[in-house]
Amino acid sequence: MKKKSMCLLLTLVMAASILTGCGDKKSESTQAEAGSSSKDADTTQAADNSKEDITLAFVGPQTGDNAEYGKSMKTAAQIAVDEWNEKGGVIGRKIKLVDFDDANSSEQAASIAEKIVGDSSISAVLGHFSSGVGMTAGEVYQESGIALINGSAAHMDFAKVGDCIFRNNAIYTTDANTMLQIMDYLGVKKIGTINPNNDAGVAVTTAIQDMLERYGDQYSGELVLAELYEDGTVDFTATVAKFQQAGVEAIYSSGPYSATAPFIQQYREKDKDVKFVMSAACFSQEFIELAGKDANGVVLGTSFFYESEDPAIQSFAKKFEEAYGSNPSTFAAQVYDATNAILYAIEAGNSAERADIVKNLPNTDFQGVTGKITFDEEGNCLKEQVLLEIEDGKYVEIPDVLKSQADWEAEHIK
Amino acid sequence: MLLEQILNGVMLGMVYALIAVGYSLVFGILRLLNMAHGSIFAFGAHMALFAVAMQWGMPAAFVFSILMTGLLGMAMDRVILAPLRAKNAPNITCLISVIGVSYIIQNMLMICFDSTKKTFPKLFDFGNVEIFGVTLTSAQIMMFLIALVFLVILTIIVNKTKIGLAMRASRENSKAANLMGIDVKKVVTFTFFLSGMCAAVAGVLVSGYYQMVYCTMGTDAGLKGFSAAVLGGIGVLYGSVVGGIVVGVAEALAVAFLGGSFRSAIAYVVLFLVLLIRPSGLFGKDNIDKV
Amino acid sequence: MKILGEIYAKFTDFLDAKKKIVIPVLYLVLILVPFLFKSQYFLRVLCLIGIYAILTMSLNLIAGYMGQTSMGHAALYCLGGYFSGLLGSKLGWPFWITLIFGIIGGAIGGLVLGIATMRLSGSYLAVITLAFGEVVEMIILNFNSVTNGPLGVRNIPRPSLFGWEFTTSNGGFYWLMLVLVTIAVLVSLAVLKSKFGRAVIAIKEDELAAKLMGVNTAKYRVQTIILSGAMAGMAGAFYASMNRYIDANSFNFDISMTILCIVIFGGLGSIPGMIVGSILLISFPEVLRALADYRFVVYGLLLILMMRFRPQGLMGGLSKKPYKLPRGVTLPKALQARKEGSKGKQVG
Repeated sequence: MKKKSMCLLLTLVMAASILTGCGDKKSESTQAEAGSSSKDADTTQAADNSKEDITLAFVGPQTGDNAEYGKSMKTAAQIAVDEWNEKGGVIGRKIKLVDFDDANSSEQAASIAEKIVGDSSISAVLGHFSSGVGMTAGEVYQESGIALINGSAAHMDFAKVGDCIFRNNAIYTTDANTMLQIMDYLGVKKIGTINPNNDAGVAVTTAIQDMLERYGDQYSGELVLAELYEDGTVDFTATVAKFQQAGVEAIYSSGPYSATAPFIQQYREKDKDVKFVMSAACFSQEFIELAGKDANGVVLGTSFFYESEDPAIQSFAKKFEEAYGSNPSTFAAQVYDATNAILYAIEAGNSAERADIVKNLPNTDFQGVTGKITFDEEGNCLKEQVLLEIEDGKYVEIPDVLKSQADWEAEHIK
Repeated sequence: MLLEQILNGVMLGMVYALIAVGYSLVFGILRLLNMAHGSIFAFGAHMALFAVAMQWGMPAAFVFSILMTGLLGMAMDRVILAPLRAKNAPNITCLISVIGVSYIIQNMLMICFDSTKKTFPKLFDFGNVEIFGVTLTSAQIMMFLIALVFLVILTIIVNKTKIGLAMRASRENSKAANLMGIDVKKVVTFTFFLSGMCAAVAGVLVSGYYQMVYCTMGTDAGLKGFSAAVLGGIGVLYGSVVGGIVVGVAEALAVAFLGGSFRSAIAYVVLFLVLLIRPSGLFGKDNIDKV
Repeated sequence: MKILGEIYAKFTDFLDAKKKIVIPVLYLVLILVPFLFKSQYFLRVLCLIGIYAILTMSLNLIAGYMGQTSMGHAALYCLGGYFSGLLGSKLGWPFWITLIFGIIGGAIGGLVLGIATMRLSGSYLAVITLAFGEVVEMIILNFNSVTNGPLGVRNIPRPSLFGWEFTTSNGGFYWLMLVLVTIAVLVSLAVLKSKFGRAVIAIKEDELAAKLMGVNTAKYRVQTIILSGAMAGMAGAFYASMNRYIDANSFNFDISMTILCIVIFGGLGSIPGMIVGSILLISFPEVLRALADYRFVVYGLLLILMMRFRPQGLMGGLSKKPYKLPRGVTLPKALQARKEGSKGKQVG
């Protein structure tokens, strides 16, 4: 009997906690109603809102496997918001960033998206880490007309979800073209690729294959072996043997640093001569820490380099380092720019209404830390990349090697 | 090529074998699938990382990790499982409890150590060795040898010592063993200590080999080790070793001939087929209790 | 404490006695929910709870009635989602037809799993289900030409009825969920009260004895898993249509574990347990979002405490209702007198 009562008590406590949860939701729903009714009466709402802060939502994994990415992207978004607030906010109002944890799971992301959509005080959304997760949530944002800018997704159809969905990350074809330019620069003929078997990896692999087919004889190298691996793999010995068998001269890895570093280490143990090219996904201090001396000589293309001369980049990198403890990664920088893009759109439209932000985002045009930020008709931001090489455990820029895809194709491909 | 891939697979298989043995030890006595074993393995690796970060040196880190992880295993048994056993709770209750433990360990690690992948010093680096025309790295060979030595020691403990005799007696019939004057409680605690030790040894070796430590390292390795244990006949130590090697070789060959995206699935397909033909695993005994 | 227990017992007795009034009233309230709570988020969480209620009732057939553990239940859920999602997205078939194919997809998965596990039980069955889950994931990730591989399935159509499109915000999905959960409950009840159900429970209690009594255990085991697969497939088809985008990651090992935990938390074999368990464990992470990092630690603690103090689950355990004999079976007079005095054991 005692135990039964114990359990009952437990249930009651939980039920109570859920009821309070429902209570929150109830207040939210009344808020939502208030929001919808106030839409009819624009004037009263404008008067009301002018006192309130503008709220932006950041969603990303704060727990689970990819928590580090979510945390660093959140830090970057917060820096952008703080900078605007120091300048006195936007259209005379302060900006507030609220954050949500989706643990990089579609199921949770969709629930959070509904929560955000239902909270009429939120003007726009930043983040989501993986493409699949972002696209599930994107359906919800698109339906209710709130803008989402993502800084890390690679799925080719990501921005095609709708006109409210934007992406500030290099699209897969840019990455593929950058890789081919680097291979050309390195002078290698036999290329191998190793990519994760997820949306990003498959998209990049297909893009490389299509591009090489299109270029035909006009491109000097050939793709000898394209390998995919499961997410979370750490043992690459069997894959390494396969690459050695195929006799590749250079290997491109688009996966995260946590897979690329052990791959390179295990390869280096058996072969000292092969060259490695990575994507911007690996561009972080953690990669060098993890790969140790084997990181030296690795090259990569990225849209963002924290040691660049640009004072805006310098100041962002410094603030990020203070707040987070390490240099900003490409994804973090892209979220920083995405945050600025939203705030510029608010400024341009002189309104923090969801619909106005969506309307003004396609006209975005400013120089961010990850290059010029403009969105094409789909909602993608085309990136120009710089070439970096790791020397003695530091990233060093090699200027004037990489060109934009259009320029390079005009030069090399008839 | 084929030989090289098989050897690669055997080396990887030894890692799985080390983890599988931990499952087998506990299952042998309690008929319990210790689903927290993967997290305990990650815990062992983090303890070693902690000691390395405190600059205690590698040998000390190794000992520290083994002790801490063994203690964690014991504590889990004393605090959570012993009261359940005292109530004669069904095995599924214990299974869910250890899943709960696994959630707690993994997330506490994430809170205390951050979710990033952290570097771990390389354990062995004496250049490469050529065997039958196949180049193997010293790290691979040392990992294989240490795992082998450790597994031999474990087998000796179980088969030749007094406590090992008590363990085997408790496995056959714990009530009878109790009547014969064996303190079954102590034996169970010791088993958990031993299983924790296995996890720690595996954790340190694996992190030294791949040169990194991260909180979720136990999830995948834990599942593979678990499958290896079942494949070999759970509860049988040498079965776990064979099972581990079979899983490792299946993975290496899958990568070689089908591609990296098939690797774990092929390992599970092998498991599937083995259990279809021999429902109690390669070396398992026929009567297996319900979970 | 004791008083609480008595109140609870009286409350359940009252519910039982007034079944004919309580159930319609309950349904009326449930149907009205979308009008009372306009929050889309709230409705979405309710739909998610509904999905898990179906999934747990589906696993309950295997775990609660048949006494076997499945650690790969998400695979059946996944098959339902993919069958339905692919037909809807690639061929443009309406939801109502793809739902049926989703159910068939889950059932086919159940058939394969059932045949594979005919000779197994306990840990070995658990590990086979785990392997089955991984193999299904591999097929989905590598069979690119059909499943779209890791890129997932997009643009899955929403259900519509007479031109009215179901969405989360207009409550359509919520009502659809109510219907599907009701179907799952009715199927579970029907199983429990049939010869089939008694045979399956006999397998749990003692497979050997059941076999000796002439129960074709192999047949019943496969049938149970097929039925369970069909139910999970139904949940998968619903999820695919509600989310409009699915990939292999939406049905991973964590989902299998969550389903198993809810089944045991709610109480093996108990249908209300499945529903209450889903409500508590699915809304728990939502409510606990504020705890951020410690969320899963609390979740783990909850599981441990539960197992320590109430291992039969919230709603499981001994029923106080007298055991109802199947129709056509009468007890000898002597036994009947004894039965009236004692309280029998019943599942459900």
